[in-house]
Amino acid sequence: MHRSAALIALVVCALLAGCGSRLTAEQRAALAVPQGGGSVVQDGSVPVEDGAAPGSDGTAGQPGSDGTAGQPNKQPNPPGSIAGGCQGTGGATDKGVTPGEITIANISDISGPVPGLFQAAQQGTKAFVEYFNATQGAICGRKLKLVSFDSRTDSGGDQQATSQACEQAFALVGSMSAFDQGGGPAATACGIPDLRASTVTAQRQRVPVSFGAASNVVNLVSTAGPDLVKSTFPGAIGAAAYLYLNADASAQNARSMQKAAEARGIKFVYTQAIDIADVNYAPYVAKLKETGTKIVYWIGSGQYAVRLQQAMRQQGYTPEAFITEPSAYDPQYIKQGGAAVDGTVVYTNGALFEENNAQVTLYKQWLGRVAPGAAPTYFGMFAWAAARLFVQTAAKVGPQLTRKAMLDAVRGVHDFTAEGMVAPQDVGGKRTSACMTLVRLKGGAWSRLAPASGYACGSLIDTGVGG
Amino acid sequence: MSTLRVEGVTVRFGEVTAVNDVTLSVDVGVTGLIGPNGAGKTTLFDVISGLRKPSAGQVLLGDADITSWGPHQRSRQGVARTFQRLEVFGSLTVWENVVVALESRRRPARLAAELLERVGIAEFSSNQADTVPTGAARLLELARALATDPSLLLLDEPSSGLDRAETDAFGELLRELVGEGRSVVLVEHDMDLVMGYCDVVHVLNLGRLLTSGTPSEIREHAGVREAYLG
Amino acid sequence: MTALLAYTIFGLVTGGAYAVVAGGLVLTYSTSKVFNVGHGAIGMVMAFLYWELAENRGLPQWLALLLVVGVCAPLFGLLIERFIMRRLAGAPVGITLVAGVGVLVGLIGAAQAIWPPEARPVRPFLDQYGIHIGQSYVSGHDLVTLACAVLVAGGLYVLLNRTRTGLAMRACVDAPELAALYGTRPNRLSALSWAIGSALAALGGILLTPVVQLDYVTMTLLVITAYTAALVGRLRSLPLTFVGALGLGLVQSYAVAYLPSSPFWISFRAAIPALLLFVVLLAMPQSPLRIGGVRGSRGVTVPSGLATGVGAALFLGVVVVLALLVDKVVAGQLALGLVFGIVLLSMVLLTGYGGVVSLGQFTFVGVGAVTVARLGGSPWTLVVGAVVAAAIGAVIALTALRVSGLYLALATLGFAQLMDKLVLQSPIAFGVRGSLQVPALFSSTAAQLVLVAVVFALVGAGVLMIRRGRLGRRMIAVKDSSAACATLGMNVRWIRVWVFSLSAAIAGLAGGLFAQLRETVAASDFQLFNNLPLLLFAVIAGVTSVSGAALGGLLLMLLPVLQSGFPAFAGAAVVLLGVAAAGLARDPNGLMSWFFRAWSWRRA
Repeated sequence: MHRSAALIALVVCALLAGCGSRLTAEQRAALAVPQGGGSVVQDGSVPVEDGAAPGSDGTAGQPGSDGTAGQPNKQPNPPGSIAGGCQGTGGATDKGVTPGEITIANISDISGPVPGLFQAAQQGTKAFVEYFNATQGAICGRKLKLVSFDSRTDSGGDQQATSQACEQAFALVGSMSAFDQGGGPAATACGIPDLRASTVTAQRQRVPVSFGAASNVVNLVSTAGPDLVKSTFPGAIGAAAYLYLNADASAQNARSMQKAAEARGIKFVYTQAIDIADVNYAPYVAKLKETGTKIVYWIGSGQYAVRLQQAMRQQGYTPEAFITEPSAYDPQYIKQGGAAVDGTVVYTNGALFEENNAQVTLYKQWLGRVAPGAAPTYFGMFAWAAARLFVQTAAKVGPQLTRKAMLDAVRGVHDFTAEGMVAPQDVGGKRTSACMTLVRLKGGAWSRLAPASGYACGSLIDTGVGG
Repeated sequence: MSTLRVEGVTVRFGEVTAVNDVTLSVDVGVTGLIGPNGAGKTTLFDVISGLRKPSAGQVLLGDADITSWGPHQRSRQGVARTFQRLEVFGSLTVWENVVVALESRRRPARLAAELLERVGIAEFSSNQADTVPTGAARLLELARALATDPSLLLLDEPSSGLDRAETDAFGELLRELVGEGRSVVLVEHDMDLVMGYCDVVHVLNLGRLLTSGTPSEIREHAGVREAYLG
Repeated sequence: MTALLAYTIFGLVTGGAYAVVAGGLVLTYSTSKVFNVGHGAIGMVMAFLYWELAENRGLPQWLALLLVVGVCAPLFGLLIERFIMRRLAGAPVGITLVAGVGVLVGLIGAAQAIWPPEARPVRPFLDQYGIHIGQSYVSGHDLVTLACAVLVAGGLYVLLNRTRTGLAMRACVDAPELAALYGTRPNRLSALSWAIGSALAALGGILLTPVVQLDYVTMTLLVITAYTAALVGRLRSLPLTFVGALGLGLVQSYAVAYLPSSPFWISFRAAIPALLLFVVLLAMPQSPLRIGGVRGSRGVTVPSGLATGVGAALFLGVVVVLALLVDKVVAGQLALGLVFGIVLLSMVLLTGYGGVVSLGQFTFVGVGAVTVARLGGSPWTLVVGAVVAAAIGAVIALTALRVSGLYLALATLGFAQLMDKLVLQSPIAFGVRGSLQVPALFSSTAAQLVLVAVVFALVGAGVLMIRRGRLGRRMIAVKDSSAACATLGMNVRWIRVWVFSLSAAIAGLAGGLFAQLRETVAASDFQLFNNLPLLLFAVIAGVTSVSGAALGGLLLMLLPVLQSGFPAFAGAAVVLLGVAAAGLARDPNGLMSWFFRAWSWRRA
């Protein structure tokens, strides 16, 4: 008797779970990257060769280019192309370069404990490659071919993918990995130009071939951030608190940025690291109340920012500002946090997705093609910018494209804005951007807080942290 | 002077007193320790061999108070034992079981074959120890204990699992061991063995020492008959 | 004063959540003798299911809660009990732990496959209610959490101490045959305890979700914190567990309030649960030497010296050929697999021969890696790394001498956590930048592969030599019966210290190789969590043989590669692995022994 009851209950459960998976499968499909891409290969370990699957888009979509990667693209570039007027052909000048094609690789965290961590960077790169191949002609007769790798949210994954990419690609473009120190030695050893969306660890920032389109380094902090906060919340700067997630890069960034803020006259009354395994954030909130904190800084991923703010709301504590890093500038953050995260202030040195910006519009448009349903994000934007920088620089180098020439050219890039998409980045000098904008979440929508337009720019402070 | 003295030993498990103020001594020869199930015989062995600390009382070996010594220290002073519930090393071969014991006392491994021959289980040498018959396993424990060249040997029901002929052979072995100057304490249910080979017999009942004496005295003791022999 | 009150209240709320989780752990342990490492993962999956029902499908909260905690979770518990845990009754600690790890790894894989990442807010219970106490506010959800903790503790206490079923449940752990006297079948009792345990995991998960957010791994980590609470009650006493849980919550809350926030104290605070775990374990009474009953396990046949030599030569031959044939990437992967293989060799010694389960082996790998990273590139630094690891291994063995079995395994876990928080994550280990560069010993990957293979062959042959020799016999003798060993004059504790340091030395050596193979190392490479798959693969592949270690190492290396390359397949593979682990768990000789058996049949 009770056996059949158990059976019925089991079936109920199975149905519930089954419905769940069906629905999420649809959602997944909506988010999924189309698989037909001949030129864009989505694979961790065994990239499919382009020639094997011709005929859908990208290079292969160009008439007459099937299996003709060896042939330069003779059509003139459209006017105003990013690749300019370079029509020369240089042959197979270096690894991953043929007369008709340049293979670039993107290595980002896709699988791991937080699945899809930096998928946005890979999608941003892919969007740009599609955009370029479809509308911008070729770089000195060469189309772009993108190979995507998964660094698996693990330094070993990054190392492995990097050494693989060294063999297959001319350059790394738009990559983003949490443990990006892993690929550093491999990249240095093979001298592959590495134009990252952003460089996470201090160790990778020191790798001679690695450059971030977001050119921030840990020890250099712009005065613009603290100064903007000072002018926007003048009554609160005497009582600020710095809270951060006690994990790897977050801790270093937090310490460095706090030092800079202190140097600009913001007074901190409370500093605390929160461990990943901490359960209840209410004691931290009690401490914030006790110290009379008016501005709360938070460095750490959005999930934890949500937790902290929910605890703050619950305890009836609302600071004048809750300031956090641009990774929160993401629709998922709003969805997760709901009303509790309203009022969040994010600093960014990229364009706002809510404002009119030609390059951002392009990014959104092509992102929609390669990853329907995916929202634009800060890191995706910088991946797009990195890819754009790659094309610009490669065109400047000309037909004799070599890794060394490419690296020399990148070292000379100092005020890169990707056509106004991002604040000027000293990519070649590896110095943090001096400019910044504050964005605030209000009523479920982000909007500019300060300055009134463009960016506020300052000078750089060397905090000596992690340098 | 006796080899071993147990003075006022008491062992309590929570509410239960398993051994209650027992005092006895052991000399060269075979000492029998008998009593019904639950009388505290094995617990007393555990106390003597050092596996269990007594709640009260002392254990003296020769002149030394060894109450606080660990079992391995007692072994080095010549105490060895076998177990009622077998404790052979099941993952090792019979031969390796003995070798482990020899090596522990830094004696040459070649003695293992002799010892197995002596207790009469040479045929099982290369068998894994958890596969041999119970009787052979008991003899293995004896061989293993002998490998430490003990002066005091505690045997916990060595004859269970042995047939008549094997038991007789075991009795002869006991005599030989005594002849070598060892003291043997025997916990046994086989009364023929106890009465035939023991020099002194102690009777335990409900944790207390009921009486001590020669086998014939014990046979005549009324209390023993009542408590044990029935 | 009001501040103190506030921190006390927050501490109690946290403690309440721990109490619910730890209560479930204690119930399943005290009735089935299986310490369920997968407890947190069950809570996690059930919290996802709750989200599915309450948030995604819009069922009323109470109905969703009832369905998940009252129906789905108990059924899930029954399934686990029926197909995995029942077969483990009376199995050694290592095996029951591995079954739990299998469940954990499988459930995380399943959750990632069924519910791909996206924002999944979960509403708290009774959000509109709440009470103000002084300056602070206790939300309705907090009150629900506390109430649940009290109800769970009380309910379980009554069940175990005041009902026939409960008494029978407790009786049947120690003597299943006795339970028959109560007129109940042990299987049914075990099933019941798993059903309740699983329901409590679900309740804990659902109560925590609005606070910690829905996530695949957070819950698992939180449950490790709850282990401390369960240990306060020696995994048996529910009232003490309850006290331990509340105490832990309070200590953590007060630590936030009153400890300074300098870097040292920050790491200290993170290490509090592990420290307490250690203190509790050290305060435990000496585990008595277990007496009674023959124990033994049929290991795989130990090859002779000659056979070992031939095997090693063949192995090296194959590797050299592979090194010449395969490309750089594959060679690098194989080398990494063999490095993991060396780590598993350290477990062959410790777990396979010595019968001691370590949940902290990666710590020694980390110690070896740090040493090599700090001292730089000569081959001798590898040896130094091994020596340092051996010394630390001896320290842990000495501190944890009192305890054995499961407690010892948990002590190694606590130790690994301490090392992680206090040493590996601090600048003294990997420097201010959090990672160190290590010069590779060979620039060519093929040479690296051969180097690692040579070390693997040497260590493997060494392990087999130990097994054939005096120390090996002693280790196995101690595993089978430490009581008999002691009465034969062996100092059982010293043997354990030896085994621990030797095993740590091997792991440290592997760590040095790992570091120079990776070329960069950071604390994140040696996370606590990595120990769980390590143990899992050790047992699946075979923890008693050198070939098992090689196979396990390669599988361990392949897992993330497969997860990345074939996410859907990997989800299924991970679930299968979990089930396989539980199925194989009865046979510690693992997959490798199947191959050996197949081989001997063929020859027969």
